[in-house]
Amino acid sequence: MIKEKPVIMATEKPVSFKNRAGQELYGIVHIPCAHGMEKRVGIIFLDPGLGYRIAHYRLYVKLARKLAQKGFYALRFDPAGLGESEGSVEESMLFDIFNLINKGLFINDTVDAANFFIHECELEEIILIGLCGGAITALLASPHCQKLRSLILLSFPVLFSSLYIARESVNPADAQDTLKDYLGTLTNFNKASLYSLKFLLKKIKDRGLHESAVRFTKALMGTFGKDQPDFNPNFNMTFLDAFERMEKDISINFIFGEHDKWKLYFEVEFEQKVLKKYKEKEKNYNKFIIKGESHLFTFQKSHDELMDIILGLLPSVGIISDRLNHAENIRSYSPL
Amino acid sequence: MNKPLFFKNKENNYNLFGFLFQPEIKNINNQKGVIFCDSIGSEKYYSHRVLVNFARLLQARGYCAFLFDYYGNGDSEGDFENTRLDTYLSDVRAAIEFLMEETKIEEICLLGVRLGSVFASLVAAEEKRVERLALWSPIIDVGKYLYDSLRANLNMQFSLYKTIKFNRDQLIEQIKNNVLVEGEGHVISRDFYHSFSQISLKKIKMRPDVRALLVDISKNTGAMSKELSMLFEDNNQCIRMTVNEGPFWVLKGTNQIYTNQLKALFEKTLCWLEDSSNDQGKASDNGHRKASEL
Repeated sequence: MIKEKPVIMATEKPVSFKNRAGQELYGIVHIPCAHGMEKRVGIIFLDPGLGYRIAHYRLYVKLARKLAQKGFYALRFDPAGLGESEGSVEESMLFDIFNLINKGLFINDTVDAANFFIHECELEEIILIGLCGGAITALLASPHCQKLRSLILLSFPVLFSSLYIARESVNPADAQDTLKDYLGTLTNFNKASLYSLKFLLKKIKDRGLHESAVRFTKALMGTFGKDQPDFNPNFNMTFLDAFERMEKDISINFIFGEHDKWKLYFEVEFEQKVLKKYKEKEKNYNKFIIKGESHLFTFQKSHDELMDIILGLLPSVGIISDRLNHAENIRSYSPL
Repeated sequence: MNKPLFFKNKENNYNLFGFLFQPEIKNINNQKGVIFCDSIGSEKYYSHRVLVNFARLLQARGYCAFLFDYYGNGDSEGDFENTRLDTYLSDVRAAIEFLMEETKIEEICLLGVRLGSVFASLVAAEEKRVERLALWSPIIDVGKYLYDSLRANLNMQFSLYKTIKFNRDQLIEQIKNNVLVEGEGHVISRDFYHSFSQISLKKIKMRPDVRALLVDISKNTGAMSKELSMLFEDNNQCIRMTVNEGPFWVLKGTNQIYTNQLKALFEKTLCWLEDSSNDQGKASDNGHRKASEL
């Protein structure tokens, strides 16, 4: 049991535990600012893709610190082969590794981390939060996690990364986006748009003229054509399977940046095609869109909005939040 | 033994995260410690595992390796927008202080990566406890580096708005007018920019007794960049080498190979560490040796 100090103070503590393969995994536990909460709720942050426990722009660090201020326990850890954790991720093409993650590469380590966290902090409920690859890991691990209350899935990828299939066909949602790229560049004539033009030329140079022309044509056809496939061959069926098997009392929450391509894919490939045409399934999830944001939740100004959405999805832990307003300034850091 | 921990920057009274890889075998290297001075933002994020793997290799060879996060970076206390050049330098000094207190290390090597090379060099130029300095693909002109890093902001603008609303000169003006601007995995504040923009590695006069290693990491050419080959000219113990590896600190799309073991870079750097400890001051006449010679 991690000792808590009897003052209003958030503590961050490095932790380590062994996964079922005997590898030592490392992480940071955030212990909330207050004691005497009515309920002990823990939030586990899952690594985005091959990144590590801080996430891009330190998003996980900021969120975990704010959540600890609000009375929640938080764990940011690295599965085997990432961060400082033991083990290795085999070197290969990135999209192949991302596909492995999309199929559940880190499920076992996530479940082991959840068990460790529940035991160490005597938690009554846990919540999994993940960005991109971390989001799919959260969903896939959820049937195996004890005391799971909800999932918060940021920038969720519904499609597999596949270089080869992507070359065969342009996704209709992507086609609209690509066409906007082309048209936006061609119709803006200010100084800064020279940069846009340079970007476009660089893209054409990188892809080759032929592929760019094919892409442009497909973008046109994808946008205006009526002959669109019913089902995207890149669709992640593992996700669909996990989604269908999800217990009804677990709340599933998707959060996207307005300009994230995965939002488009989610809406077109999942909501419009799969849910409506195939499953006729009752909508049993929540979806939130953060205006002006991108895939990685880059902008500092929207982090507060993201935090508000997340807090709205969390259970009450019964603490007096105004006692904690100044807690961040007196955060303590414990040795292992 | 591996030890994640928080330690204090006593000068500024805040807490920094560190990860100590203590040697697993007993040998002559046990008294030597390598402190990693990594980069910032996306470069730090994407290169992290490579540095961890090199730290493990050092540990296996009997060295003590210490990775730490600067204030406002990684798992350390603070927010990035409040960092300045002096906080970074103070943090490197705090890491030296901590490592020497915590272990029986007697010799310190600073390993600077990209922008971290600037911090490592500035500290090594003043700090006599630093005996060796290794720089991996160092940033030479920091102002230019920050300007270049705004390309990430342009990419973001293009992806969000389908056009570029502000070019880099306009973004620099915004920074100077105290607007926080998103760069390559971090924000750039006015004070941060002012403290960094005039810094250049060329202006640093390295102590003559520091044994330095400059590594140019490049996939394209075997020749060292001209700027790098002229760095630390006064230091006749400086060894320069080129290593044929890709830039492990960037991630561009999924159509690339994920690499976290840079065998050539690791082996050459280890070789230099052994060489410079056993064969002090015997750099070649012009101080320039290629990796193949080591």
